[in-house]
Amino acid sequence: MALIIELPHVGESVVEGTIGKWLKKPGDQIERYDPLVEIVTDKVTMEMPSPVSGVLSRIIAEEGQTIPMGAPIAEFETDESPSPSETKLSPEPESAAPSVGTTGYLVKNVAPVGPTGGGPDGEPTISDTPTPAPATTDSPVTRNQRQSSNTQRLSPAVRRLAQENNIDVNTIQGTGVGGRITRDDVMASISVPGATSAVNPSNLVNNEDTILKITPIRKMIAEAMVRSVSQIPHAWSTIETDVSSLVGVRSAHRQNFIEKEAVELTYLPFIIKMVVESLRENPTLNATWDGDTIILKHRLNIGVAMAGPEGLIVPVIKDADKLSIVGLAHALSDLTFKVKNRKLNVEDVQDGTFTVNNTGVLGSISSQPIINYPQAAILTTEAIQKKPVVVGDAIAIRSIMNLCMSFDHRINDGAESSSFLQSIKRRIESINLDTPVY
Amino acid sequence: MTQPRSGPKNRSARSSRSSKTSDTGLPRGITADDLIDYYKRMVLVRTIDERIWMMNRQGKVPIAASSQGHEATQLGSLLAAEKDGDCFLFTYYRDLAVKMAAGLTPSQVMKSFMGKEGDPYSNGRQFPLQGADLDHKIIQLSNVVAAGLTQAVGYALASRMQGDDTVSIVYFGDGASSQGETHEAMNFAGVHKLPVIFLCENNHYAISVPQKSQMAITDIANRAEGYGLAGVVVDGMDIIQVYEATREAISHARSQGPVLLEMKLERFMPHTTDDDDKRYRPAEEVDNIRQRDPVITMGQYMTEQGFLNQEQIDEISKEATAAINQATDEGEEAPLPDPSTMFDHLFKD
Repeated sequence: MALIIELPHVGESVVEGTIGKWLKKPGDQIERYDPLVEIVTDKVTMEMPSPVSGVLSRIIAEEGQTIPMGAPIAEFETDESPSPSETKLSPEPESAAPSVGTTGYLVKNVAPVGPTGGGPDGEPTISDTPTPAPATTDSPVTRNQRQSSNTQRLSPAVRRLAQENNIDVNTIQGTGVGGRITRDDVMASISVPGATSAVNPSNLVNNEDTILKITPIRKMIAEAMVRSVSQIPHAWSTIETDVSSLVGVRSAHRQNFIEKEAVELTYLPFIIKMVVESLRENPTLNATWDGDTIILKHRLNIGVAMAGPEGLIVPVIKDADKLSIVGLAHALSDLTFKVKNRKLNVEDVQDGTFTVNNTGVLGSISSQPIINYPQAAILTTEAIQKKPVVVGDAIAIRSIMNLCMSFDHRINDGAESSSFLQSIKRRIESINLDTPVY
Repeated sequence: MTQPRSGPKNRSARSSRSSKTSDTGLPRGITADDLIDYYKRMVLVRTIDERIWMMNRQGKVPIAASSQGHEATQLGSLLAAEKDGDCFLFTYYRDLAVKMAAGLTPSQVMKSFMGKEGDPYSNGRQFPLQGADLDHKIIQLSNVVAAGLTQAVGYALASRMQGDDTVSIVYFGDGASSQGETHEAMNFAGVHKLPVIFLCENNHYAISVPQKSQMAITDIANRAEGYGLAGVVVDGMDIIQVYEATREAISHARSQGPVLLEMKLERFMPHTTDDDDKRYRPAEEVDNIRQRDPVITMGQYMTEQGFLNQEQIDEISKEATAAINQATDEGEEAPLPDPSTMFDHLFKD
């Protein structure tokens, strides 16, 4: 018998979860209570034990996907009949919510009221009345019920937020449990001026336009970007580096490297090596703003922005300072493979302390990157171009690359950020064939 | 480490084991059968505690605070209270082991945590474990941190006024020791020399706040002197020492006045199922403290003493799992409370 497993309702006020890592794969024989899947919520990262014994026949929710509680995540083939709570866990909250809101009224008017009475005479009960009882339109009961479904339960904080901003909660579509209006819902209608009337983008759609559904990853990227630009005062800086020696060193090692190591030697491991060395010299660039303090991170975990099948993803090389250039090349190659094949797990994208983005690979020569919140800075390596430059008093053809950096101006000023960039530049320009790669 | 200067004998219970043991090698007042019985209760409690956590992760238990790591203290003190026969207990929310070992069945515990009909306290309406169990002399717990201390002192005052021999034992955590009510309760108890034991389950974390951020001292028991209480530090991971210390504290409380028993123990799990302790304590710390797991150390003690052999230990564990499997099934099959009973017991009929 096939049985659908749902994302469990775990934790108070938690409404969605992200699939961290599947701990079993399709075809696996699974015992009840075996750890099945890692789920990341706002509150905790947890292992969900299998609710039944059987064979995992299909994974429905992929790793990294954020889904509402109660959404299907997998399918089992099992001989066990699902326990009652497996199938009964989702009583219509929509129908339950209004009756709670009207408790005071109902107690005083016990006789005509179905929802609390239950009653042997077939009065509807909370759990089986998704719609108000079909009574006469003007009875006090139905009037009260209609009112209650509009003025549904709001937390005091949400009610106050709505009042302070003159938002009519009846115009908001709630996204919380049972359609409840959350703080985020109110915030959304504040931050989109006139969302309920004038400039709603959906009013601008006409027939030749195509509507793209937002994927969960796209949504996460969007939220991360908004959080970063709205909370971090970004400042920008660009520096030009002469990478002619680096180009020479890389070509000298390249052939030998791929034969010995079976991975391509790119410029990125060199750059990351120099970035981590420079971060050690400039610890405030490897930091986080925390309101009244600045946290200097001791570990150097370098995130590397990559284009994944579903969009931008930033896997992290943990303790990058402990790796040689060869080690970094392998780490990068492993992460690239994982990104392409959707094999990243949650740890692979956590705990970054600084981010490097190789925009040069796309042909860019200058960028204004958005900081990977809550880090202190992000660095882009731009395209290497041969350019005529003045060396001494002569003009020479040199390989030139721009490094662009955005930094959190609360943590660092121009002095610190320039010192950091100069430190990278110095290292890049002094590289030679004696620079160890192992 | 400074030891408190007043108290039954003013020293850690560890030093007392040799002097207190009888010829059988057992602490006075208990038999090998008692220990076997309590070992079984401990294994059963641990098994259900782990299962409750799993059921939360399946979305079937809304919230739970685990007693894993606290079992030796909770069971050792309960054993002392049972042997004494005249103690009244004020537990707090982490005292699953006390409440279950005192008499709740696994099935009742499961229904309580799952909010199902058959929850002995509220028939599935209340927070788990909240309710009085007067048959076992356990009062309704309040989830308000440190609320139990003043209640226990009040009960002790009532016992004094009624002239009975009851000793109140109130359980609380290190976090509660930082609350104002704790001061009020201890001070009042000290002034009136009331028959009450303040049993602190010091697991070194008030939710996520480590002890060193809560207080400037190492031993909470050191505060006893300032209130005129007896203060004792006990290895709360060792059921025998806990039993001995509690037994002695009960006599002291009855004859001379209040005792502050500080049980040093460890919390193996996050604060509750809604907490992620990886954010504030290193994984290695949890690995380290698990080396002193009371279920394992008590099992070792039982085999070393020859009270149980490995086969019996395995059998006890198997029986516990079977019992908890059955309790889980019963919990899952039990219906949710009938909505029509929502207003029952709200008003006097």
